[in-house]
Amino acid sequence: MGVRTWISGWPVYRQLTGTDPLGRGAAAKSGRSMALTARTETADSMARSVCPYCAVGCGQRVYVKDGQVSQIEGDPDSPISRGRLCPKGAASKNLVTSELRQQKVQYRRPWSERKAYVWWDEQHGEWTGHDVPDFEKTKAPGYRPPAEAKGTAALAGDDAFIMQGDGKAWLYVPTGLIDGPLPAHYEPAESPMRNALYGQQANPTRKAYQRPDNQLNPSPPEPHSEVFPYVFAIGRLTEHHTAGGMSRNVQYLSELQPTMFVEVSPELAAERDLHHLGWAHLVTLRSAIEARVLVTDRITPLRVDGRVLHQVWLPYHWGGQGLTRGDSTNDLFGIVLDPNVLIQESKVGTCDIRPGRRPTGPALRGYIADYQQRAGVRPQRQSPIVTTDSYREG
Amino acid sequence: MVGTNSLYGPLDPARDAGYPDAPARMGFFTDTSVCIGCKACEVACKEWNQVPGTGLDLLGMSFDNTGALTANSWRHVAFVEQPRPIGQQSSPFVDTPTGPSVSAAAAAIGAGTKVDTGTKPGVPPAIEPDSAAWMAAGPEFPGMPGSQPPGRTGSANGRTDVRWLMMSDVCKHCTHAACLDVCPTGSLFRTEFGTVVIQEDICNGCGYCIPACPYGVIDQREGDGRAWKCTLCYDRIGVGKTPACAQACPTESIQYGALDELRERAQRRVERLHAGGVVEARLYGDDPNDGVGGDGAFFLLLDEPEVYGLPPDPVVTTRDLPKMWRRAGLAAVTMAAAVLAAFIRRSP
Repeated sequence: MGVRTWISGWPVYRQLTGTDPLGRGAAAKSGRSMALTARTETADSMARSVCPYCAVGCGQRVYVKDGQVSQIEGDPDSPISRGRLCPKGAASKNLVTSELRQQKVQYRRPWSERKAYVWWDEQHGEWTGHDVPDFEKTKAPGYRPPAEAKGTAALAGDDAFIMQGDGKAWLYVPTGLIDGPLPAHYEPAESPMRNALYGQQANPTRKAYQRPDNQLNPSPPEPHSEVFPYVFAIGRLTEHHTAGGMSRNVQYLSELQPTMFVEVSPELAAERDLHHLGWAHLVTLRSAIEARVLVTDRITPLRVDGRVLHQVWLPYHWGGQGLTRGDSTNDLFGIVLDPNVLIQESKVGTCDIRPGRRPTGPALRGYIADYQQRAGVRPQRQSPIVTTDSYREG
Repeated sequence: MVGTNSLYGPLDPARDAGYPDAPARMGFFTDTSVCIGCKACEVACKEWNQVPGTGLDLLGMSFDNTGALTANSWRHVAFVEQPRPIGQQSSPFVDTPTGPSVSAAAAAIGAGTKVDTGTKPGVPPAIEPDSAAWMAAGPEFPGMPGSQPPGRTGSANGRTDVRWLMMSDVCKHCTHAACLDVCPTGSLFRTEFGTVVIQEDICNGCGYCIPACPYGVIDQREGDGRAWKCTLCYDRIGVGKTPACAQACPTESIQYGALDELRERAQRRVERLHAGGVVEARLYGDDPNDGVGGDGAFFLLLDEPEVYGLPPDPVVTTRDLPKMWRRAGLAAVTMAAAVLAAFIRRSP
């Protein structure tokens, strides 16, 4: 390095001799700033990909430097997203490089003897093992379906198990709807209100699972619906994805929505002694979950049938693992499915809400048992499906 | 070049900072009327600039858990819940072409005439007189917050509709940047794009820039000591790329471009919103004659700046520097003269 270069590398020299006598711009530029370039320019390669989160499929550009992902950003050439991303997609690199990311795939070679959960017992002619087979117990691995086979018979003996009995994708309702097509108003499977239009309270064709561990909170015309006087609705935050299994492992997303919370109106907060940022717990006949309280005017009490009805809202992104942990909203729900495509019908339900954290361990079961007793619910109780007769009587 | 407006007044900042052939001044126009509060800008910024995490704190400020612009959050989406309807929105029942009759009695009589519309056999040609009377009696609040809030029907204590303002805040990249003026190391500098950038290889963490900023943007990073803020992605825009936040923004609430063009676009947007009845729409930081000579990153707001936590009338904190130095100089000269005069009198 020559003396002249050394001197001209000195900001004061540049300030005195150059175009920037105040030394606030060109003269103050450091060597690092002069050499600065976007790391997308210096990447070894760029791969076009698709965002790993939801089904929209926004295009992404993945830049790689020295075998490591150096940047992931929206692909302006994508006709779906034109380079835009939501916060989850924008945090994709954070997801890839998260310390909590599962690095070793728990891959099981099909029918690996050492790791197999189930295996074919030639002697008895059936599948047996540590797990319960999810498929026909007596179908040998060598079974090959004839070309015209239908339903479960079309499933080969070594086909993958994919939810449906035949191991194939399904088109639902090819022969017509079980429910519909004309619209009708039914109350949700759990509701504090009587159906204002018909004697039939809830959808009579709904798929219900009447089990002791899946009790539905009583709804009119059943008695004791007042034990669960509030309506809870659930939803999503843009910062998290479904139950949070991916996004709660990502630092940049977890810090944007760090805590499981429940939104209540100022009126309900006063009624139940709930405090902003304090704890509350919600109770149904299935379980109780706890959440921090956000009191907001966005939640409005409703005036229905001459009485004030309080509703609460909560996201469903939390669970027991990740950077941010919390109770799972899904624990509140009973399972009720719509009859046509078997999607869960119960996205809203009734509940009670109380200040403070929930009991834990065996005390929680006792707490729920107390609610079951107050609601007059026995383990073998069946929720009424058809309610038109009782409506006429009552 | 040193000009009379170097510290205050209208100015082309890049040329003033020694870039005679500067490209067009670049900036952000953040249109809060289309911000959906997704926070993609916050995340995209952190990913690109490799900003450390900020910790897991529930702030209880609506959906905002970032809180403010800090050394580790260079974009901050503010959420403001206000008990008032959006724009000029009114009850959906008002002024609808299928609105009710003037009175219940008139409606009942009108329905009773049973004018045959001749559409389909078996379908009653007109509604029942009783139903018509109920409809004419006016809208009954059905309990849905979107249709008519309790406050407007007087059924609940003073409640009105709520609007939710969201705004992605960022460094303003002022025409007159006091942070830059006070920086003793030359770490803060004006780029050829007219933006203001902290050079992390120069900053020594003295912190002078922090109180100098009229917006409270700059912050010191704990455990590091240096000051950090938005660079308007100096590395990206240098190679013709869009800054990370504007690139990610799904609604184009954050727009990046030549400042002149953005100001024109913003003006048209305000006029369009005004014509559409959103009379509260206004620009913030777009005026080259304001206290900081106009912002390189300016905003369209839907309420007073204070509502968003912005100063209503920011002034560059170094504006009075020349005047202060002149007065200090004058005081020094006066003092010297007085001392001199004292010696003169003592002489016999």
